[in-house]
Parts: sequence; C-alpha cells; structure tokens
Amino acid sequence: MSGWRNAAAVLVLLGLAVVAALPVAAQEKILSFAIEPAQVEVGAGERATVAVRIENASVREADNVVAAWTGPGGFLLDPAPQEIAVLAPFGSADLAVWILVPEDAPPGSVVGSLEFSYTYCIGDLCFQVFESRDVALVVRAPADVGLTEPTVPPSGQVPPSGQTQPSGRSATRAWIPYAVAAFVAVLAVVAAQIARSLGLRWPLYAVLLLATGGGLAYGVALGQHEQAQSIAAVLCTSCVGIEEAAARAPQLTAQEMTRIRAISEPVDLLVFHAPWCRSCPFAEALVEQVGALNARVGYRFVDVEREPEIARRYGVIQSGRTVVPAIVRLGVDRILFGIEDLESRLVLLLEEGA
Amino acid sequence: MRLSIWRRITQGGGVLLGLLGVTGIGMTHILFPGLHCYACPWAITVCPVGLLQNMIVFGTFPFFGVGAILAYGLAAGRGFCGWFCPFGTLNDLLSFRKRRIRKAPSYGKYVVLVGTLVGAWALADTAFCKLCPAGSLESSIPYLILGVARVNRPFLVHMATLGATVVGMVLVARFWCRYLCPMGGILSLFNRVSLLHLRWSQATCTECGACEKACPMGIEPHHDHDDHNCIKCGACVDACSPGSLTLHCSPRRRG
Repeated sequence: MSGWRNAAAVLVLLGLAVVAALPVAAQEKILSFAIEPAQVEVGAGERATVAVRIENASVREADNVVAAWTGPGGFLLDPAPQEIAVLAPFGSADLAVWILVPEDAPPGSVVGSLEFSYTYCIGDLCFQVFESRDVALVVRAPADVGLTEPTVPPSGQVPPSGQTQPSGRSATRAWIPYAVAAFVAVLAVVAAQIARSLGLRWPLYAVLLLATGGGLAYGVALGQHEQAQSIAAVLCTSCVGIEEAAARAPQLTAQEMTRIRAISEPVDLLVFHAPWCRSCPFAEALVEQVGALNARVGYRFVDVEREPEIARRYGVIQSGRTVVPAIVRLGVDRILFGIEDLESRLVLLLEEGA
Repeated sequence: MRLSIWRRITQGGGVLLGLLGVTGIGMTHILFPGLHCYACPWAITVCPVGLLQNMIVFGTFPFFGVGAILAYGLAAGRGFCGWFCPFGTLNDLLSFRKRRIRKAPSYGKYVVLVGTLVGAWALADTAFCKLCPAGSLESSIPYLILGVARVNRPFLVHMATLGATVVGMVLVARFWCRYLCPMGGILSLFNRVSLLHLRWSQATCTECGACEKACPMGIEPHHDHDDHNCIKCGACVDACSPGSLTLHCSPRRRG
C-alpha cells in the first residue's frame, strides 16, 4: 500500500517537474546567422564590410532583429546596421554590417563579436533571444601589405554600447516564476508526505485543495481560461490531424502564374489565421506571392482571435467552430479551408466569374 | 436501483455534454472531465489533454488546466472514466465479450501520458491529437462529412488508430481506458484521494471473488479498492451479494 502511495507521489512530483521545466526548454533559437567572411582584412581608419545571412527556419515570425558590436574599444558599427522589423516564417534576409576601425588601431588581429537580438511570440508569450557570432578583423600596418602576426585581444574590454545581456545565450528570465512554482510544489508534496508518515491525512488534502484553487485562480488571472476557450473554439486543420502542416514554401507552377497574371478584374481576399496555427503561414505566404504576381489581387490577413466578428460575418465557421486557415474571396460564396492543394484551389477561386 | 442503471444515465449525460454544441452554444471555458475532442464540431468543452499539449507548445505553464484537472481528480478520480467519459462509454458498449486480462501490466497509459507531454514539447506540436482515436471518431469523421476534411494521409492515420482501438475494445474489456488513455492516466493519480470512492468491509467479505469477475478493469476490488485502474463504476458493488463493497461520495475515513 504505502509503496504504491510513494510511487504515486514520485510520479506526481516527476510530472510537475517535467511540466515546469518544459516552458524553459520551449524557448528556441528560431533564426540562424551566417557571417561571410569570418575574417576581414582592413586598414586603420577604414571600414570592414561583413555580410550576414539570416534565415528563419520556423513557422514563427521573428521581430526586431538588431545587430550590435562587442569588441575592443574604438571599433564601431558605422553606419549602424538596419533593424529588420519583421522576418517572415521560412523567410531570409541579408544584412550588411560595416565595422569602423579606429585611426589609431595597432596592426594585428582583433576578435570581436556581432551580437544579434530578436523577439518572437508564441501566442501571448514573447521571447527575446540573444546570439553572437565572432568576427576576426586583421588590421593592416600602414605600410604593410601582407598579414601581420595575430595578437591576442586585450582582456577586460568594455562593450561600446549599452550591452548588458550575456551574449550567445537565450534570455531565460521567463522561467523564474515556473522554477519558483515547481519548488513550492515539490516542498508541498514533501511536506504532505512527511505529514502522512506521521498519520495525518488532512495536510495532503490542504495541499491539493490549495493547488486546485490557486491554479484555477492564478490561471484565470492570467487569462488562461480565455486562452483555453480560444484554442478550442478555432479549428486548426493541421493541429488535430485533418491535414498535414506544410513545412515548405508554396510553389506555383508556371502555368498557374500565367493564369494569375491573366486576371483582369479586381479581386479581394480575406485570409483567416490564428497565431498558433502551423499551416496558416503557408496560406499567408501563398496569398502574398499571388498579390505580388498580380496587383489586382488585394488581400487582408485576419487574426480570428483578435477579430472573431469578421470570421463570423464571412462564415468561416463550421457548426460553431472557426476553421483556420481559410481564404474567402469577397463576393464569392465559397471558402477555401486548409492548405492541401491550396495553390490550384486558390487559382480556381480567383478565376471564378471571370 | 442498481448502480449500473444510474451509470447509464450519467454516461448519457456525458455524451449529451459532449454534443451540446448542436444547440448552437459556442465553445465555453470548461474543461471536459474525460477524453473528448475539442475539435469535435459539436463540442462546447476543452479537451484537457489537448489543452496541456497546446500550453506546452506555447511555453506557458497551464495553471488553469492543472487547476481544473486537480478539481476533477479530487472530486471523482477515475470515476469520470466509468460514469461520464463518452469514449469510456464507447469502450463499455463495445466490450460485449467482457474478456479481461487480469494480470497484464497496464502502465502503458503513463507511457502515453509522458510521451504526449514530452512529444508536445519536443515537436512543438500537438502530436498526440494526430493519433488520438477519440479525435478520429469525434472530429475527423464529422469533418469529412461536413466537407472540411478530405481523405488524406493524416485522415488515414486517424482511421488506423481508431480501427486498432476498436478491435482492442472488442477483444479486451475497456482496452483503451485500461492500457492507453492519457486522461485516465492523469485521473488515476487521484484515485486514492478522490471523494468518490469504494469502501470495503472485511467483516462481511466472504472472498467469493464475484467482484473480481464483474470488474471490467480486471482488478480485485476486495484486495485493492483504490487501484489506479479502478473506474469506480460500481460493477463490483452490484455483484457483491454480502454488500461488503459500497460506493461513497464523501470525505474518506481515516485508514
């Protein structure tokens, strides 16, 4: 009997620990940064040019991609590289970075690092991610043509800008409340176990009731009941296995492109999506492509969680459930759900009535 | 009245709650105390397993979901499996052979539970939902009829898991509930503390074994009436002629 109880307590404990640890691990680096070249030869007072290729391999959108420089004193990013406001899912961007070498820089090799930061959101929860890439600058001697002996960068350098975050690591401050919650839970379970070994049952019930009430109250305070409702009220076709999420960019055939370019009447599309829907970025990317091919195709993206009344008005609802992704053409009484064969289905919808 | 008749009535209530969306009521904030797909076109409740997976994918601790599950667990533990869950009811209805494998280990449901949670984190996706036989029955098939779903690979995977589960249910009583259900796994953790519980009186028990024969979950109620597989359905209570086993919904006595 008591063996079973202990096993059950250990199971609950393990479960709590796993669930508490998950949010920490769920933060990922969704962008990859490639630097070309990794080593640049440059003269004092000149600018070294570095090209950065940034790729987004995830279904999430990355926002506010910023680059900064950490390295020996006097080296500056000049002009400051442009901030990339939005990097779309599966998208990529090239960033040119200029590093100004001070006039009085001694010849030799200097290693600094480009510090990138960006944010991405999953539902209401956003993460800021920091990453760094090393760049080696070989400063030429004024009259020297060849490479000079590399020198070790001076230690104890102060970063030139207001960089206070540790580099190369994800900012994981968001995990602290979970760690505290897990710690309290572990303490509570241990306390209940000790009480039970003393022959008391009520402390166990007190802990369970507190956890129940506290969980429900704190969850409601965080708005998690609304979140639960909105998750369940919107049907994401790829989430429950009605179709597969596409981890690829949409591909229009040459013939489909010709047919899209041939559309002569203005067409307006509404694209319904939800922030956590994995197949929605595919539908959005496809409509963006179509819009780029033919300016007569206008479109608007509608987040069904933010604007449910629009979803209701255009009937993107199947027996009470809003279905995403869905594409509606204004004036046409037919809705495209899901992403399977969406390229050909969308072209047919665009040509309707033409 | 025999408990089994009351149980059919509450099981009917579970199916009714599962399909209450037919009346036009939209999705509510309520978690279903069992395994019932929220993607079912007529669902008005949130599937706890689906919600936990989504929250893990979002990287948010599911305070609300865990609180609600704790509340259900404290109230009845696995009693919901026996008295309310529509998928449990389907298990009941299909298990007409009443065959049980008593000694077979049944920890598979914990493997499924941990796999579901870890899978949601590792794949950043609701992976279990894509295999869930309740989802196959309650959302894949209805949406095929409604014209949203098509017969494609995910649909066939759903049909395969549903087919395998149905075969299992016909061959072995409460196959899904006993061996695989992650929701049953969660609720079973509360079986020893829940208000709804079996009581056994040693004084009147004749060790006849009638309860053991009646139990759909293949446990021995007179030896361990709080087993993690006990769904508190009361089949043993109805079968016990000396009345040694009784079902109560009240705070537990000490001991």
